[in-house]
Amino acid sequence: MAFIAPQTFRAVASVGFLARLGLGRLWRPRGEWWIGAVSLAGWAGLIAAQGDGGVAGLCSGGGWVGRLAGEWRAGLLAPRLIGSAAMTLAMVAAMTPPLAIDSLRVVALRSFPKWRVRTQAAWFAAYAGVWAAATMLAELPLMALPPPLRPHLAAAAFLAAALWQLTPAKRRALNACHKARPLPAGGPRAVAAGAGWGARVGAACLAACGPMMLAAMAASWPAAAMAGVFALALYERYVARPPFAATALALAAAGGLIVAAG
Amino acid sequence: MVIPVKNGVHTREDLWSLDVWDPTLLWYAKAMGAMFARPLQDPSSWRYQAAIHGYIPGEPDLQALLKPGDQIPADSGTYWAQCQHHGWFFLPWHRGYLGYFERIVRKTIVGLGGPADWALPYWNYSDTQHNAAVARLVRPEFVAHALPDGSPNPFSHGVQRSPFNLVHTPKGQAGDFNVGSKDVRLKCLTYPHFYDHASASSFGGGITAFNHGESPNDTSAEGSVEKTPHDNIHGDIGGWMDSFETAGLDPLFWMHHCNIDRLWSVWAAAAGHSNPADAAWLNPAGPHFPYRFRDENGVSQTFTPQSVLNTEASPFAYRFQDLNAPPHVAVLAAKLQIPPAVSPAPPPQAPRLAAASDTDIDLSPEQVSVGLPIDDAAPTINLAAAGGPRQAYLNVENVVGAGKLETRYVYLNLPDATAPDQDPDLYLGSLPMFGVREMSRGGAAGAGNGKSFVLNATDVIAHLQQTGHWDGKEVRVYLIAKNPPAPGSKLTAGRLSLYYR
Repeated sequence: MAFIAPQTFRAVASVGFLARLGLGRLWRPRGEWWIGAVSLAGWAGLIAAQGDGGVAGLCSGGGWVGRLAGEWRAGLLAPRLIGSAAMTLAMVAAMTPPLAIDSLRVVALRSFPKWRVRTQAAWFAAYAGVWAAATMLAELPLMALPPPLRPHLAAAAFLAAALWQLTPAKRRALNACHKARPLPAGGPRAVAAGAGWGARVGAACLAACGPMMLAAMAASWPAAAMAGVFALALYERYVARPPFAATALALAAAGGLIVAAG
Repeated sequence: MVIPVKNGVHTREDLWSLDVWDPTLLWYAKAMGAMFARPLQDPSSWRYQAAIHGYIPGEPDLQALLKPGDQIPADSGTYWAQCQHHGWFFLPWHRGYLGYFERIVRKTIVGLGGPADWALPYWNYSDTQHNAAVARLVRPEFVAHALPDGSPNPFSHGVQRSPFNLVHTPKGQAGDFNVGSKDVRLKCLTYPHFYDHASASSFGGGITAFNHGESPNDTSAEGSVEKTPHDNIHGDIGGWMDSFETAGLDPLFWMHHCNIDRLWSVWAAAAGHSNPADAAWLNPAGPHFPYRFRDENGVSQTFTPQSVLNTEASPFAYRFQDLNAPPHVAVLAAKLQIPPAVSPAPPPQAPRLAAASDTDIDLSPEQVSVGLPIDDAAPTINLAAAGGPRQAYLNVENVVGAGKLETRYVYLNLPDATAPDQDPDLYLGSLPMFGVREMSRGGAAGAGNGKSFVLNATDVIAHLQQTGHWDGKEVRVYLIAKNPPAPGSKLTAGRLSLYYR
């Protein structure tokens, strides 16, 4: 524990600190209410999906190819894929807008009014699109995993995410999340540049926070894990020099909890 | 002379008002020598104090000063590389940094047999009244090779600075580092708000979280006092002063920042000016707050911006010898026509983008001109008539560079770019390069967004309109290097833009 700076503990103890980071930004009257609305809708979807078995109870018995083939023949696969896609959209809607708000404000500030919304939309669509595509890609093999293996995979994924926190590559990726790009002030070039910028930031953020997000997915999307991962991502996005040792410890503890719960 | 402490309050003196090797300077030099000799691990050592401002593991400049047996202290992660730049914490953080440094120097001086009343002097390079002829020169004591007793002078011995010329003054051979009048112009004192939106000029800087230059906030903006004269002086003196990591090693750094601290007091004392009332500035929360320093006894201390607002109270207890602004400030204020502040918070409406250049502008050549076509939908600005936008700001966004970088002077619509100073009314301001290299670092060091500048263009546009040189369709920006750019240096801007409010 000695390697954790005292300020880390103070930060964790600061009442309302997280609210001052991303969540607080949403409620400021600057015209970004829609970002908060999208995020709230996403969270409502995620919470509503809890209790239907999520994606954990999809599979049973046999090899994954056989299971998917069986589900296909039984007409179950398509609904499950649709369910997964809906879950993915809910997750992206819930988590990405608050993480993108600073960049969206820069886009707004640097655009002519006529092109502002279009450029912001292009930026956000590209950013969220990267997350959505990656989540779906990760979800497919997870769907095929035998349910008894899921907790083991989740625990391993949390431990791997914890180790990722301690690598220089993680810092590089997180720094790249803050990268600003020159933006034409208007016209189709502005929209295209906005999309390119959003995609690059999305890819960087995916590299930075993807491992912890994957761990939460492996744990079958429980709301508590999703909220915890979201809080960590928000914290890292808006605090300079986040205490990676502490966040790694939190992720490792999550992995340990899953193991302990059997 | 060292002014006696009165009612527990020390007096910071005007550097150029001091006699040759005045006790204030002589004891400062002796203390520097003693502090430089202390091991790096000692929080009261000169090098530890410099590393508080900036430190990168393995960074060559500070490493070169390592002595046998030196070790990086275990608490470096908490106390080093903390300087706040490019945002609204610049002034309060440096006030505390300076205050604890002053206490450490004072204790060292007392230990050497010197006066307990000692306080840091300030270098008032903008002085056009009392010491106008010499104000921008570096005092002889800081370029002399020896102390009066013939021993090596810590102020200059081994200190790295830009090349300079020796100039004779009544107080000896001073150093001329080519600090120009543009570099110390105090336009900053005319701005009524301590902070403002990212695209508008303010005195103290835009709203940021903890910001050591890693650009954690995409919309951070430098305050005008941080830009000029602060950054300009760092770049003009050069050498150690030109980098976050080594600036604190130069004894001039502390007298320079003492003056910046004084300018904050000058600004705050002016009618209609007030410091932010926001809790996020007064008592910020988060993992890097409150700020942590070690005092003269090595004891860990903390402070917040609120706790350093009253300079005459604990923990630092000082006043300045002179808090008058030079006359040119009133002249500039009249030209800028800035409405008085109605509250500590800036107007809620952010400035509106009116014109922008292409992206990725190469600023490396000695002279660059960039056209900014004004958006057809932008409101018409007519500063001679009522209504419409009343302020205009030129933004130079995301300036990144490498190598030895030179200050750029910025003009609008020059009729003859080969003689920019023939019409001083077209001069907009400067782009000093201090911090650009640090903020250009990408990868594990930061976002690499570079530095963004905001220049209030209202006075120049008003002049162009009065003289019939404003067509409202395009404005041409000229960026002219103060000195010929160094070979191999590279400088680019993401974009230039014009905002109205």
